[in-house]
Amino acid sequence: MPELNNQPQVSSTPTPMPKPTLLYGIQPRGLGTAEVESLYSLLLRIAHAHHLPPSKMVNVTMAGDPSVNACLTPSGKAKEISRAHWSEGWGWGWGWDKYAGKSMIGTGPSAGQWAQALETATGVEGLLGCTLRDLRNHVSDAYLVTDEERVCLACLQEDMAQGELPYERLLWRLGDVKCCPKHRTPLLPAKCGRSPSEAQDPYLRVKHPGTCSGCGAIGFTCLTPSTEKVHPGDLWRAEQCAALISDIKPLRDPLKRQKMKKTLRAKFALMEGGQTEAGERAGACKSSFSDWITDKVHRTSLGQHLDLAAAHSLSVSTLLHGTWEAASVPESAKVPRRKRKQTHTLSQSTIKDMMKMAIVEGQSASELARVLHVDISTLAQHTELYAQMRQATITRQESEDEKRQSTALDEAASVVRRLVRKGKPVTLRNAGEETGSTWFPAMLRSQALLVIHSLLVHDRVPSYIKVGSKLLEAVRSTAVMLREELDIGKA
Amino acid sequence: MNTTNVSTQPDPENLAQIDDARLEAEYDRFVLDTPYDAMLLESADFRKRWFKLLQVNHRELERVAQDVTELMDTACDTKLISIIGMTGIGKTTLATELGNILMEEYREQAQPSEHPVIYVRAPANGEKSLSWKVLYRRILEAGHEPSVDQKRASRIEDGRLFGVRDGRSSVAHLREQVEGMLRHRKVRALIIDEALHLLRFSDYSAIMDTLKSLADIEPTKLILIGTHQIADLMTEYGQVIRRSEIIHYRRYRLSTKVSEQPSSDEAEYILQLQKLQNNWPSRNKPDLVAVWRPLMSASLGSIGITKSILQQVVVQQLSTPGEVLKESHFRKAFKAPGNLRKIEEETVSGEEKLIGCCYGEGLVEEDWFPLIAGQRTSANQGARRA
Repeated sequence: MPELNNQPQVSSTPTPMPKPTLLYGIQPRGLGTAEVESLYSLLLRIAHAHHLPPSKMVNVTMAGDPSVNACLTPSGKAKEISRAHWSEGWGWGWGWDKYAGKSMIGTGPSAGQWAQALETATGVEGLLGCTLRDLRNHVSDAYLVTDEERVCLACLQEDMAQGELPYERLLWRLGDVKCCPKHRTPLLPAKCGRSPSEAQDPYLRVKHPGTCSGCGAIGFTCLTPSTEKVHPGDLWRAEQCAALISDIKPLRDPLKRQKMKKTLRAKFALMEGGQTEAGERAGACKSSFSDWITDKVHRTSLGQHLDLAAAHSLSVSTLLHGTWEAASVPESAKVPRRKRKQTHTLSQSTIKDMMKMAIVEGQSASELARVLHVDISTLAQHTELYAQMRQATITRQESEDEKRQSTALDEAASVVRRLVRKGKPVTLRNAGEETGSTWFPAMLRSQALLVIHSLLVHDRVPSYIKVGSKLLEAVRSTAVMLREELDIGKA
Repeated sequence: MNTTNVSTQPDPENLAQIDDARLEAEYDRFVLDTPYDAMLLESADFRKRWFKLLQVNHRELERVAQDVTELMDTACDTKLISIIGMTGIGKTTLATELGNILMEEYREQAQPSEHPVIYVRAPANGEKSLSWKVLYRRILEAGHEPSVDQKRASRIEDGRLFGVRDGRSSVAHLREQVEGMLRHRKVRALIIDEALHLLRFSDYSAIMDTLKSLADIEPTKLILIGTHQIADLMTEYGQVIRRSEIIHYRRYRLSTKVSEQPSSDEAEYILQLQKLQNNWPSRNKPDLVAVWRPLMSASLGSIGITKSILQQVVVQQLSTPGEVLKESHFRKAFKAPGNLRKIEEETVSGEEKLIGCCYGEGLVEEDWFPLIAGQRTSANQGARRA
């Protein structure tokens, strides 16, 4: 018999497999370079990799995970403010894709929260680099990020040549960037270039960066490349912004801002004309420029920084880092690009005269305010005239509404008459075939048709249709008239 | 703009299920960690559970685990590994053990978003087309894929990206999801237990095409675990054979001739019996080693079947007043001869199919290996001169 081992050899305690992160650990493209991917683009790519519509991924998958949820849920005071601000109720991830994810990639706290939420969900680190959050100490939000996506067709083609689906660069979302610094072509708005008839069924649309959501063309091949020549000033600005984005991380340090202002103050003090002249050359308003340069926490727009750097032949990136370093700037770029606000002076008597004329011509208060470049509150100072204007507008709108309702009702009655005579059922589809146009359920004529049909058949108004009392009265009398005319018995 | 209000709390029903599973796992770990002497003081139910969870590591299990570990090396071309063994031999135990071994190996290198090892059981129910769906869904669930029901298919055609109408639950879409998950989660080993059930799906070529496409994804390797019936599947297709290996999980052989000195297999079996005897969950221990031959014969040399028999004996013994061992306990625990014969017939015919097809059975001539290894013998020196 063999020698037996009396020691029990049994397996150790089974080690449970650790649960992976909620979402795939997809790395952002071009991190740390001028071509870094925007956080919004990364989120869309992650959703596509998971075969999930982005809204489902945000509102169901991410919202359902407690640790990810916590990153984006405001706490304490912030929550109260949020609730008070949105009277319709605050929801998790509310407005996450508003203006193409603008808040997600800007300088505000929302960008930081989204970066943290995605880091928690994917396990990928350094996602703050896909936002402009690091510029928060230097640059104000004003006009920083565009409300819509823009694309460089050549960059998208390059992505596709590498055998991958394209992505959106963070640089393209900067309002001051008008062209691609790499290909020297203007950025184009990411809107479908095909005719509406070629657009996809909304149900079949897939949201992916660098892909037309209208027709689905990957790399926006539906757009025609621009032949417009890029302005040297725009190109210089785009190059400056690209350099800034590639070296954005050190700007996280708030002390850099103090350093920059200190350097500028010291340099301007030695210049002829001093600070005032320096501000004028950069196209800045004297008082706001003075506030910005003296106040420790005051920030200004990126456009103002670019104008300042151009006027004094500096590089924006080194300027924000607090270093005065001369750089070559094309002459045409030295002209300030920002348009200063124009002020119009109008006397109150002129405003009064214009308001009287507007009442006669049937112009609304908002239309007049826009023409005169004044605020509505300025018009409202003339209480009586303003009340007259309001009343005139209301009366005009009511008469227009009545006219519209009457037209819709006549059209519906005419179609009902024709359909009944032809022996066809009174439906929206048949009405469409009869008139050669689509009768969408939300249309007033469709509502009138459905109410007439219900009154003729069931002698009651369906509960799901909500129409005003005046229109309802008119529809009832039309139904009675049609019943007699078409010889339809009681329901 | 999205204004959907979503509950900030996870689904309580799912949470309850997760908690139940976690509690059970925690309890099992607590039971297993109890030392033998302390266990003897516990209740009968506790001791039954302790013995059930007891897993004996034997020579064959270690050999199979070692072979799989070799084939799992990324430098190795093999993409499809099938582990074949007779029914009840302990393949599921092996799968769990393999999962633990591979997990331990990959744990260090794995990123938080990665899931190196996925273990699923092939579904046995449902009609043909549905079964693939069930398997894919199981793989997705085992890989912790979120919101499986919310997914929508898309395709690229003529340079355009489209959504697919009604593509939510199609087999093709689910397969695409599985492939995406394997790629993104960097799944190194996809273990499919009870692979026998795959044979019920459709024709073999369709099965192999599907499995091959899953195994083609880098860095995934597919491990199929099943009985001898899956041998036909694995040996029929040349294209698959090229990149696959069969590992035979063998039972221990009982010599037909009774001799004083047990064979190597018999000695190993006795050793395992000794371990089980040492860990018997009652103070009234049976002398299992004394009856090793009938036990080995009744279990066809399978440690898994032996463990099942002894588990049955433990259940009955611990339910008897005074925990007295009785002959009837063994009579009830042993398989009836008719059933045993049936299992043996199936096993023998399955083992015959695997002769010369398994990993480690490559043909190496005696005289040329020393030449490769640079070991000069007088015979091969003579051959060189010639």
